[in-house]
Order: sequence, then C-alpha cells, then structure tokens
Amino acid sequence: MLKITNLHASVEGKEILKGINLEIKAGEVHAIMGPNGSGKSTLASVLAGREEYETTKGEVNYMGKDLLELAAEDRAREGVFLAFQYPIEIPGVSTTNFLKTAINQIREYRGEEQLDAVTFLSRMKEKMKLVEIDQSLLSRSLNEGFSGGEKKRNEIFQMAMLEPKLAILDETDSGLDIDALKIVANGVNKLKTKDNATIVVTHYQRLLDYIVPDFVHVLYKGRIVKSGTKDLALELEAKGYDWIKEEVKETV
Amino acid sequence: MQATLSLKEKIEELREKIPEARINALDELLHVGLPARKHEEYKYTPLTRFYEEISGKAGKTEIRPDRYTDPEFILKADTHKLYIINGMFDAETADIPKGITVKTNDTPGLKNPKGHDAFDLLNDVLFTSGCNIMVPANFTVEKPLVIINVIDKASSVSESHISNRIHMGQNAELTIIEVQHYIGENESFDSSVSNYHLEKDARLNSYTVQVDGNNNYHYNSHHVHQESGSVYNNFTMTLSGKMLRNNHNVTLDDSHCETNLLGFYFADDQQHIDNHTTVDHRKPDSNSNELYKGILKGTGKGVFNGKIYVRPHAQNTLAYQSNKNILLSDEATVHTKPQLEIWADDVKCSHGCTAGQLDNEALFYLRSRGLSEDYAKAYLLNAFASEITDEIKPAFLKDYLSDLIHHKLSSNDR
Ligand SMILES: Nc1ncnc2c1ncn2[C@@H]1O[C@H](COP(=O)(O)OP(=O)(O)OP(=O)(O)O)[C@@H](O)[C@H]1O
Ligand SMILES: [Mg+2]
Repeated sequence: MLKITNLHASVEGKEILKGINLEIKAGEVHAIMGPNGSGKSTLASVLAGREEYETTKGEVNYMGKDLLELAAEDRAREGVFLAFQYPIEIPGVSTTNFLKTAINQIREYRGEEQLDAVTFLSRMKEKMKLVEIDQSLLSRSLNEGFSGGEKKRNEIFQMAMLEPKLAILDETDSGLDIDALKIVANGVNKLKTKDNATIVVTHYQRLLDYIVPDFVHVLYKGRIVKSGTKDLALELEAKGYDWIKEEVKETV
Repeated sequence: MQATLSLKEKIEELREKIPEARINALDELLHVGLPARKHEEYKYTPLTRFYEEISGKAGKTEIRPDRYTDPEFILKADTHKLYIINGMFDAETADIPKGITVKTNDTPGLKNPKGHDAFDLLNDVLFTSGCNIMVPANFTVEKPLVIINVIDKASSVSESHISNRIHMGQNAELTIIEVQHYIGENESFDSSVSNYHLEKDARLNSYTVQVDGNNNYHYNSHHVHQESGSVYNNFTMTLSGKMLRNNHNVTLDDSHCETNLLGFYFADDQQHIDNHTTVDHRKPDSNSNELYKGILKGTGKGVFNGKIYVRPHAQNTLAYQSNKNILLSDEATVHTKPQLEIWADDVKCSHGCTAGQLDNEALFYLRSRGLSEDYAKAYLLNAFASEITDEIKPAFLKDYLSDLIHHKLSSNDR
C-alpha cells in the first residue's frame, strides 16, 4: 500500500528526514517510536502533504501513485488521514460543518453520489457512539476550549467519518486518560479491516497493548534505525533509547 | 491647508443663502479648508481630491421615483421605512412608527465647529435635509426603522449631503438600519452626518449598511452622546463603494454607559475603506467594546484608526478595542492604528491589531480532511466574518449580510 524509499525532507533549509525506508502492506499496523525531535511528526506531515516541508530526495509510492505529487486534499481523497499530534483550534468552524463538505468533496473526487443530510447524520450518530464523543462538542468551534483528550477524540471521530485507507495517528494517546485511551484504541481497532493500514506514532508501549502492531520502528535523527516486532516496544519501555543511540554511534 | 479657489468661491457664494446657524461652520471651513494630502487624519485617504473632482462635475439630478425600487432584502422585511432621496427627506412616503416623531431635519449638527473634521463642516454648510427622529421616554419601537438614503446618479454625476438626528428619551429603545442605496453608474460624492443623543437608560441599536454602489465616494460621520446607563450599539458593514470614510465618535458622558462598536469591511480591487473611531470616556464606570474586522483583496485598501480617551475622572473604565485584518493578496494593504490616551489610573484598557494572511496551519488542517484549497479558504474567511455577523440581531439583516459576504468570499478569482 505504501512504500517509502530513501525519503529526505527539510524545513527552512534544515534537513530533518535523512533517508527513510518503510513499506506498509494493507491490513498492517506499524508503530513508530523514537526520542523527541527525531522526525516522527515531520514524516507524518510529509505524508499528509504539508507544503512547508520540502522533500529533497526519495520516493513515496501509495497504491501505485506518486504520493508526493498529490495536493494535500487529493491525498485525503485518496484515503490518507492524519490525526494531528497538536490539533489546532479554528474559531468559527465546527466539525460537523466542515466534515459534511469534506465528505462530499471526497465523494465527488471518487465519482460517488453526494451524501444526503439524513445519511450523514446517521453516520455521525454511529461514529459518535464509537468514540463516545458528544454532539455538542462537534457543533462548537473546532477544538476551541476543548480539553486535550477531547481534541484527540475528535481526531479519531473524524477518522471514523472519513474511513481512510491509510491512517497516521501522531501521538493520539498522549493526553488521554486510561478510559479514553481504551475508547480511542477500541475505535481504531473497530475501523481496522484487511484493506486498510495504520501508522501509530507513540512514545508509550501502553497504547500498543490495545492497538497491537505488526511492526515497531525506531526513528532517530531522521532515520529508521531499528525495526522489530511488538517486543521491541517492550524492550524500549524497559531500557529507554540510550542503547539504540549507542548502536547508532557504533555503526557510524 | 487651504481650500482650493473653486471650493472657496463656491462656499463663499453660499454665505448669503444659508441660515444664520450655519455661518459658523462656513467660516471655520473657509479657515481650515478640506484636508490636504498630508493631513494627519487623512494621510491614507485622499477624499478631498475626489470630492473636488466630483463636485466640479456634478450636474442637476432629477428625481425619478420610477427608477427606484427597494433593495431586495428590505422588500420582504417587516420594518418601518423612511426615504431620503438625493438629499431630500421624503415626508410623504415615510412610514413612521406610532408613538414617535419624525420631522425633516434642518438643524445643523455642530454647535461649535472648532476642531471638527472639515467634511463635517462641509456637511453642515451644504446638507439639504435629513430626518429628525424623537423617541419619547419609556417608549420602545418594536420593529426596526430603516432609513434608506437613495442616491440617484443615473442621469448625471451627483453630489449630495444629508444630516440626521435622533433623540432618545429616557429609557427609550430603537433599532435603526441606515442603508446606502445607489442608482446608476455615474460617479457620486455624498456625505451623511448623524447626531444621536441618548438620555438616561436609553438603548439605541444602529446598523450602518454600505453594501451598494460601485462608483461612489462616501463620507459618513456619527456623533453619539450618551447619558448615564444608556447603551449604544453600532454595527458598520462596508462591502461596496469606491472610497468610503466612516467617522464614528461616541462620547460616554456619564457613568454606567455601554458602547459596542462592531465593524466588518471587505475591500476588493480598487476599493478603499477607512474607519476612524473615537470613544471618549468622560465619567467613571462605563464600558466600551470595539471590534472591527476586515478582509482586503486584490488592490483593496483598508484604514483603521481607533482612538480611546479615558479622561481623568473616568475611573473604573473598561475599554476594549481590536482590529483584525486578513490580506488576500500581495497588493492589498491596510493601515491600522490604535490610539489610546488614558489620564485616569484605575482603568482596564486593552487593544490589539493584526494584519496577516490566512492561517496556513488552519488551511492545511482543512485540506488534510479533503476540502479543496478554495473551499478551505472560504470556510476560514466566513468564519472570520461570522464573529461579527453573528452579532446582528434582526434575522433578515443577518441572513442577508451573511449571504452577501459568503458570495463575495466564494467568488472564484481569489
Ligand atoms: N516547521 C518547522 N520549522 C523548523 N523546525 C522544525 C519544523 N518542524 C519540525 N522542525 C524540527 O524538526 C525536528 C523534528 O521535529 P518533529 O516534530 O518531526 O519531531 P518528533 O519526532 O515528532 O518529536 P516529538 O516526539 O517531540 O513529537 C525538530 O528538531 C524540530 O524542531
Ligand atoms: Mg511529534
């Protein structure tokens, strides 16, 4: 589904991704871990199409298409979804409000019929239940005055509404209490099919107890320096990153 | 600052023709002249040049009622209506709410012309009529009163000047909607000066609607005087016209007054919109709140100048001011300047102005959900405007103006 080859990206002239290689197949869950500032969110942003990040080298193939050629909105329409690490506030725009337009623009792109108001509302109800989010939150200005947890839940709600093929969850677990974590993880798991894939960026093994990854990667200084199974996450939890940093030093 | 010869001559000629009460303004105008290019209050807005140009060309206007129809949004609304057509208040067609008095205004606005904007002086000398509204004490006018200022410039370049007065008795309440309505494609210059007086506990909601006309130059000036416990709300919406200057001067002359000034402007190619406000806190314990927002597109120009005075006696004043602008092109400009002068020490004042592009983060967020760039922009711009339009009380006006803005913002050539 996704094949990243030797991806380099910089922002404001500073190189942040320094040769990422990663392959993700339909049905898989990949976890990306790594110390602060290693480039995890940058990778997520580059995949979602943020224009401030310049890709200087490498390729990203997504379902047979050159992903880097597509505008951000077209990536969304092709099924890429990013749950933001820091969802921003947009005064005057409510989730319900823009989501309906978004869904219909996506459907138009795919040559599908517009969603009528009734179908939209019933789909909303269903997904609201899934992530246990309140209607009133969705009709308020996006994220304005939302608690940290509410913001993250809203991200997963949008993901549920948009039913992406490739979902990238950037630290969706941070700021969530245990109950919310379970709800969010449960939501993600329910949305999982054999046709879609998920990238979970996280600092904590805890989330991976609920969303069980097929692979775990460690991103460090703009490169994936180690990959393994979910056992790698356990090892990181126990030992921290120092041993990996040492390994990297030795190989350089 | 010398008036040009032609203006001087024209004004001088009037000396014999105008009532005694206007002579002071005439003398003062001859003394100061219209603001020249370097004038501090007009350095971005060369209104004088256009006034002189248009005034020189203005012909005799004929009044043709057959050319006139109400703007659509008023047709359907349940309101009272007054018409001023090419400077003349039409007492015959006036639909005056029961219980209040409306007369033709012939009282000049300025008691003491010293220190006034020269265009106020010009208006004082030249205004032909207007309406004089008196709302008696304890009386509430239920339906909004619409004052439609019709400028028929279909047959020639036009110049007109009107002056309105409203006196609100104690605890009286009124909503007025002042609508600029232009007919024809010729150039025009028109000035409109309004003097409002609010007695104790009176409430006046005024809407200034400037959404019509494209070849017009407009000077608009409000002088509001508030007594204790009174509430004055103004909403100024400017979407059309070539060059507009709005002066909004409010004097809070007693305690427990409340003043809310809201403004929204959208200047497209070749449009120039200038808002100058003055909020003068003279006595303790009053609140004022001001928010003006603007969008500048193409070669559109915006000017905002907000003065707040807090006089030595005006302790415990709460004054808030904000001006926010979004520039949609590299050629669009805005000059924004807050001017606070505070002599009292126990006051809470805040002000802020911003001018910038649309928020890229917000744009990216919406696009990452599948919205096209155009839609995402329109969403953000509408949201920006809705902070103001949401505050409009009469539903028909709110719907009309929100739709109008929406259309303007969604037009394709962004
Ligand atoms: N827009 C930007 N401008 C300048 N520097 C940036 C920008 N975005 C990211 N960086 C820098 O790139 C590096 C990687 O940042 P990134 O946000 O990708 O890290 P991360 O792995 O997600 O970290 P965290 O675990 O703290 O979320 C950091 O040093 C950061 O300061
Ligand atoms: Mg991050």
